[in-house]
Amino acid sequence: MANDAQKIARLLQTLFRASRGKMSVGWMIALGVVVGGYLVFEPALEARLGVDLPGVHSPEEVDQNDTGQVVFKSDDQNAAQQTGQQTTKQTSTDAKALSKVLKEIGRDKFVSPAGILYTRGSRHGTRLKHLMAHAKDQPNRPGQHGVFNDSDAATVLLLIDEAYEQAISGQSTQKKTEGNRTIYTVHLGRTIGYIGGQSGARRRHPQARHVRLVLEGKKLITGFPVIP
Amino acid sequence: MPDPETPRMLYVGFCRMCGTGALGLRTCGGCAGVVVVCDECDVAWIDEDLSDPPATTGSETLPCPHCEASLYDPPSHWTTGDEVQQSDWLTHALDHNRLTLEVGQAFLPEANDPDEDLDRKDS
Ligand SMILES: [Zn+2]
Ligand SMILES: [Zn+2]
Repeated sequence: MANDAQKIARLLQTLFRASRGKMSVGWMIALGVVVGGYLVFEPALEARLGVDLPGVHSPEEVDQNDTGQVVFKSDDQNAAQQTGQQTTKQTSTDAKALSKVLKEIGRDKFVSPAGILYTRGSRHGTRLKHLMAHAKDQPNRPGQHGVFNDSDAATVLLLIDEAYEQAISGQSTQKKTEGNRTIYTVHLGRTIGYIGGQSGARRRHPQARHVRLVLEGKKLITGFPVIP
Repeated sequence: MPDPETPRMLYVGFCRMCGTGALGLRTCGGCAGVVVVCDECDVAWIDEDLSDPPATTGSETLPCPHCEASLYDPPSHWTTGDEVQQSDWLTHALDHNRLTLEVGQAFLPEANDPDEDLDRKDS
């Protein structure tokens, strides 16, 4: 929200140019109040309704470069990526080292505070390692690869718990079941990651506010940021 | 155990279950059958009928739909071009344009390692 004043000013400038200077000062002020109000309440509305509303803080900022080509910018995402590069946090995937978040309940079997089970599985060896492979982009992976903004395993685990608890409450959640699988797509109402992989790179890594959880019962199969 | 093999993967589209994973061709180490597996959510189909429910799903292992051997562990591996030619159902599906074959990079187990330079490895 720190850049909202700039964004309002930029939007008003654009509208003013579009009206070719015919807009009165009174109309400009009224428009500023309406746009400002929308900016403030848009995230809350999105979380409540479970939809992505258009907004100047939405996943990508569209601008024009010197040659008039449309380019996409994303301040929050760039900041997050820079923070990720500078941070000293390591992507720990040793479940035993995450004892503040995961409780060991059997051999290679851990449970999160919300009751999600993390077991062996996937080509990564464990579901935790698979999950944490979504804390880093894989630019050459075909299609989309959802990437969490935070690379700290405990933070990602708590985010998955938050999404799961919201999913079972039914709030801002799409649910799909097939066989023994349940797939939740949960709108968390804030940016939690971005879309990487080849498809994400082509779209300049749009920001994601949803998490998709694939579960078998309470066993996590995978979880990642997504734009539904 | 994750396999240490090359991450090159032949794939035939994307998974409708999770909406993300590439559908890789995997050769079973037990029966040498070629199956379709989602590289993200670990489900397997025996042929091109991908709108059918998956033949097997994996939580702790992903069993081969034909022989139940683990499709994760060696000697199971991503299907090679030669093995594509030897698979009757697959050549039939490709000949009749029911599937399109593409080549890409599998989801890397190594992506966890903060010291790994994936870009250099890929080039
Ligand atoms: Zn087999
Ligand atoms: Zn899948």
